[in-house]
Amino acid sequence: MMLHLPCYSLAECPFRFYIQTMKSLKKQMLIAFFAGVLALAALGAGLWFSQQGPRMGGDFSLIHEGATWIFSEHAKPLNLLYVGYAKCPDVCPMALSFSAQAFKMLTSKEAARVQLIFISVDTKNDTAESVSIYAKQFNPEFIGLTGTQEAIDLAIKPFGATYMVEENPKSYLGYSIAHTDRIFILNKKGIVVDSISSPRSADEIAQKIKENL
Amino acid sequence: MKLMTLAALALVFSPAAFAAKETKSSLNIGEARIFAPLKGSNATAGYGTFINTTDKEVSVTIEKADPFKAVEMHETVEKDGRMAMQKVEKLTIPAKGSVDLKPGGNHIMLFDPNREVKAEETLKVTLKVNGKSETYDFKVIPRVKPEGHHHH
Repeated sequence: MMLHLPCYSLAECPFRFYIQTMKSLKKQMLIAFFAGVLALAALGAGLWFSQQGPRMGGDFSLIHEGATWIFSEHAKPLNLLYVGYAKCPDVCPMALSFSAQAFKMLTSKEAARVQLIFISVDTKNDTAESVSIYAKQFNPEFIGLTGTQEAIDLAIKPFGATYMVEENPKSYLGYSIAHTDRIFILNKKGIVVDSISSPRSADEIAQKIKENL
Repeated sequence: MKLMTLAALALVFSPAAFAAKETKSSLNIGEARIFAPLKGSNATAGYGTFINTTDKEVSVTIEKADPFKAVEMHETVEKDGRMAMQKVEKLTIPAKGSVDLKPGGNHIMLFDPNREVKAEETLKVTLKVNGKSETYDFKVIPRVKPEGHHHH
């Protein structure tokens, strides 16, 4: 049995010190090699994910006509989501009426696989009942939802939708709500697969629905 | 023949003919329309193309639109990635030019009608054109075109 005493300097045992140094160098190179492979793999995965786009969205729970409405329980293969408020005179009703026109361009088979969800962020003025009545006038199948401010914030955040209530003392209404003007297209899991910014047309919405169905 | 020419001349130079020319509005509105109000909302919008027929700038403010309790002009603007609205006190229509009131831009906002306003009605909207009240007809149209009439 050989006793391996460590060598601390070149003067003590020159040959063994050389071997030891080489061994540790090899180990370091091996570690460096694997670290390199890992870094490349991470870079590749990162590139792949960035090509896929960010995975926005998810499940949410709000109120529909006085009852809890959970997305995952009502999800269709394709779901259009719009965030706004009922007293919005311009962008919201245009988005909803163009969507309603687009739904008319679908075959009955296609229409059965898609739904539109309108979330009102106006907790002070819209109720679950009034927003449902509002949405149904565009298309009897449109779903109008609202909830507490906390529930709304929690629901819309994963989609990157935002809003801001602005006081407007010069207007009869006294306020207006600045909000994201985008139709999000969600899959059955609530993940955003596409979106439509404004200005948009009924034809464009119908085409996007058909593309994603 | 002479008599007819005279009569025609008399007609052309009659005070009535002059008056008609003088009262010709400096502002015309193309496709003047108001969306029928929806249940669940007390606000609706009106649009149209404001055409200045004169060779001088024309200022336009909004006065009233029966049966709405209040009427204002607003502009939709993009702010920090969100669509926001700001009140417009006065529109200026350039000489011989026009300003389009259209979705996503300038629009008339109408609040709280004191009776039900239905599609196909014609409403009177009073504007102040260069400080003078003038009334224009706006057609009420539905938000969603009824079955069988939808656009392709």
